[in-house]
Amino acid sequence: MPLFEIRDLVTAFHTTDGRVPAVDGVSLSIDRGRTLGLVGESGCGKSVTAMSILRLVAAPGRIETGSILLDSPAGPVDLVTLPDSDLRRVRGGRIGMIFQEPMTSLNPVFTVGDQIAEAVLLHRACSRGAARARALEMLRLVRLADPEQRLDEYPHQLSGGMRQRVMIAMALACEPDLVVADEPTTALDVTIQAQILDLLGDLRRRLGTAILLITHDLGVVAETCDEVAVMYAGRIVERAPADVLFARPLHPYTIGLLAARPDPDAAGRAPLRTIPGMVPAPQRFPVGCRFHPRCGHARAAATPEGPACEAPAPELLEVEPGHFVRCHYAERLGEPHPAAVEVRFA
Amino acid sequence: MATYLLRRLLLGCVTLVAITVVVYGLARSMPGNPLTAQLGEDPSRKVSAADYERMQRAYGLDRSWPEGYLQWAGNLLRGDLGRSITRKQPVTTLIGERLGPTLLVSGTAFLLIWMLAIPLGLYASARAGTVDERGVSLVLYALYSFPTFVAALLLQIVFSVWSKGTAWELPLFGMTSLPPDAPLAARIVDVARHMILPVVCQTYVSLAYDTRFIRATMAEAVRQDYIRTARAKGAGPWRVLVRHAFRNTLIPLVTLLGLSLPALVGGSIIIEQIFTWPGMGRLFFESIRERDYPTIMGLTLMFSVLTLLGQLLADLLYSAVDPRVSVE
Amino acid sequence: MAAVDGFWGQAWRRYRRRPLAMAALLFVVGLAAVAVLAPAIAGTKPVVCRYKGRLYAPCLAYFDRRLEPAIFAKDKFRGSYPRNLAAKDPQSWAIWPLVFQDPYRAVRADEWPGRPENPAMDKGVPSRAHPFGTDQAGVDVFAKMVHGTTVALLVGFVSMGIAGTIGIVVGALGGYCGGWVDALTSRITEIVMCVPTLVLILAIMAIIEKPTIWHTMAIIGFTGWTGIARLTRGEFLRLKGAEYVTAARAAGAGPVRIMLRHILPNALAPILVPITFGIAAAILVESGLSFLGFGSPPPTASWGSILNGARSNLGMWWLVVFPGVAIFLTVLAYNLVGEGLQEATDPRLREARK
Ligand SMILES: Nc1ncnc2c1ncn2[C@@H]1O[C@H](COP(=O)(O)OP(=O)(O)OP(=O)(O)O)[C@@H](O)[C@H]1O
Ligand SMILES: [Mg+2]
Repeated sequence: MPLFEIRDLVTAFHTTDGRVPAVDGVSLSIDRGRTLGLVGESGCGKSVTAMSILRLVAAPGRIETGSILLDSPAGPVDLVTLPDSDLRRVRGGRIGMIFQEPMTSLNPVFTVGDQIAEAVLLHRACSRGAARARALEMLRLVRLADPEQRLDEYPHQLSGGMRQRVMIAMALACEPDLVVADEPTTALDVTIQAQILDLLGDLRRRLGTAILLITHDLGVVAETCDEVAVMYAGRIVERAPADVLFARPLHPYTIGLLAARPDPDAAGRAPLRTIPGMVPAPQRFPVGCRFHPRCGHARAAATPEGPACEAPAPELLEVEPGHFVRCHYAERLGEPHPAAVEVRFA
Repeated sequence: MATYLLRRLLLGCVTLVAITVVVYGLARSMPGNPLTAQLGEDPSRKVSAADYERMQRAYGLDRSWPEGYLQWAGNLLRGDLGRSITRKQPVTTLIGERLGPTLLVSGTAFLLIWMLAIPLGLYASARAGTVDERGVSLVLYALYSFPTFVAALLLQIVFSVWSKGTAWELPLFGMTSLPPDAPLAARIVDVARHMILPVVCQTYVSLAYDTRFIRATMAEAVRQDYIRTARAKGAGPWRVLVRHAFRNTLIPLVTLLGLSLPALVGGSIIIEQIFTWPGMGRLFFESIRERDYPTIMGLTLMFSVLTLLGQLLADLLYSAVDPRVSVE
Repeated sequence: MAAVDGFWGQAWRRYRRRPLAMAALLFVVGLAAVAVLAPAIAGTKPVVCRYKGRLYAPCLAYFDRRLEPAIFAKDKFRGSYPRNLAAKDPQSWAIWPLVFQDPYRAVRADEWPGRPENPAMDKGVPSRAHPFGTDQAGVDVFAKMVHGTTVALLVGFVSMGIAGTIGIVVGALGGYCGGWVDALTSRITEIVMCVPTLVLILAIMAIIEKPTIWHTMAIIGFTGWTGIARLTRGEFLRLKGAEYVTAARAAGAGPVRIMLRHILPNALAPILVPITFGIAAAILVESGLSFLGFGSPPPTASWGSILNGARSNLGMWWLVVFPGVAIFLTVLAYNLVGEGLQEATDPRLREARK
């Protein structure tokens, strides 16, 4: 069994406008020490998936069905049904979490050292002094300058990049088996982004931690991930080992995403490609394939009876070993259809 | 820090001068004087014309009010708050006498308020959205809107008039009904019984207000990202609520604390008036009615100094609980 | 920036979803109706009557003495209509208020044919004839309370109208102009805050020779603006740097125009909230003053002055319970309206709900 596995997770918000299924049947798995990249456009449900893992989704959100399995010495445990007290031992202990917003995710009234030490004290029977020593060690590990001095500083005295390092130190303080990093670099500027990603990769190699790296940046995925899952409108639409996905993307959405990447080689000259249309809001997911209103194939494949894409919803099919695609035309898709990607001048 | 305090002190002095000028002018413009104002039933407070003459000269009341103010301020700088005209005592002695009873009631109320408001506020936040929390919130809201003087009268009716002769009967007025030579234990019990109704009246409104305040700031705090971080670390619900959220609500709370300083020492005019409690609020009320200028001014000065001190205290505490803020 | 009416329309939709806030709003509307219709609900003057061939509405005299038709004074009615009308013009007819009771005096024996004199002192326990009882002088408490509604409502609106105007002007100047203007307005605000309000009010009430209810309202307004000023200052400080303000300035708009047309509409929602809470507080202050005997002098019918009568006669519980509950409910209603408004216009709460 893999270290960690999500099966058919459905998380919905019950708002005054009705049920909003932000995550609608997501499945993925991560092996020990591996990195899985979860990519998708803004609003497709990545953060909600991440929050669901540690049951941090706030009301009116609720995990409705599915299981989240974490391999343990006594066999896999399901985090969805785990009693609160046991779940608390997993939070921060076996699964660490890094959030999107380093500026607001640290408590402003405690020193950095206290906040890391708290994570240690919550999971290990040790003295305050030992916890503090561990905090210092972690700050060194995440390569924060002047760690002794920073230990007694407050979050507002640190820059965004430094705060994200503190968050990473906190998430890794108890040597978790898995770190969920929800867009850890989105709020940071580019040079800092690269440093943080380097740091994460380095720590993974040294500590053997598995990482679920959430991002909307395919470049980041290409550099750091072993495997990639592409998410669209609350569902995984394609999953494959990273090299396979980049070499042979199959789902029209993935193809669009890849084409939308700015190409460093064709600096400036080439037009930037974008996927036409927008991610639908969860209240208005299309029936059938959720991507079909934006998909060139669906338009090209339209028959007098209407495209097959409108119903029923496609399943996630394994088209080659380890490569899953959710598309009715998965087998026939080899090359990007000429109409699949519209070209725009950005 | 020292320059900050010095600046605050100077600004405070400017404010104090302005306030005392305004109140002195108002007081002197009130029609009548201590001779003509009706002084109630107490014959010892009748001012003789000779007494009044002497006082008038001492405080410049025979001159225009700006001159009178200067004289009052001059005396103040020499450390002399003057003597009450109608009570024939130094104003400082008078305030000293009234301070104890007021502190007894408002101090007790103050302790009760904070001892109850914090757990109640935390309880309400912990159980946010449940039926019992909504019930508690609604009751608190109703209490907050309930006028003190109505509550005081109702309590007097229930515990003094309707309970006459039963074990529930509580004294209606004053601070004690025993002679000063009664045994100490009996006097303590007696004063405690007299205190109950005023304390209840002074407690409930602030209790309701503060609890709602804590509840509201907590609701704000638990929405913050760092709460999610704390939960992701594995902190339990109470730890999240008390250590992480409540610690942050202390920041607005100390402001509230500082601003309640003048009320703590000044007492409540209405409550002391209803229960004829011999405290500061009542002294203030009576001195206005009696046109007892030195007492009015002494009390005004005290209130203003306390208000300014309370604000300073709030700002200092603020920088103590919020690491992001430092006094310039 | 959303259009202003769109914003208020949305706020209203959110407000309507809160049953308690809606109930409170309806209560306030009901009170206003009672205040307007007071002379037709309780009084001793006909709502409409025909006398010597002409129609009159003597009940308007309850709003202003001068509105009492002169003919009744000339004919020596002396305020007692039922018998005089019949005696002096047999052809006359009249529509009477629902309850024949006067808020300012006790109804005399047989003033209404067959009715006994109003009971006074502790005989005035609530009864069928006087559901809320009568006070020491035998005046019907229900009639007093119905007419006191006007005072309660006026106090809230007039004093907060004054306080709101002063607070917004002072706060806007301080926040927008900054510099020495801000220093000055902040100091003035601080001074007014430091003087104990009740003392200020008591002193001013003593200075005014013949205080009326309007004086009370004015004084409450002139002392109660500090909170509004501070909030307005903060809002103006915040919005001063907003892009659309810069754009307006670049387009050549003058400071007054920018403050009134560009900043104020956007700052209004948060400022309205303390004003609503201020209405509740003003009602409390006025009834507290009347209760201490410092409010508007008789014959103004204020709920607080009914309570004042109970102080010396604690046995007359009905003098506490009925006006007390009326004050309580009104204050509660305004507080609930204020809270509803706050939640309906608070952008953060809005985002949280989506
Ligand atoms: N509290 C909430 N109430 C209602 N709907 C919500 C709530 N939180 C999230 N959603 C919905 O869930 C969907 C997914 O949101 P999520 O935050 O997971 O997006 P994301 O993929 O992380 O995007 P981003 O890249 O911007 O972080 C969104 O469409 C949003 O409308
Ligand atoms: Mg996200």
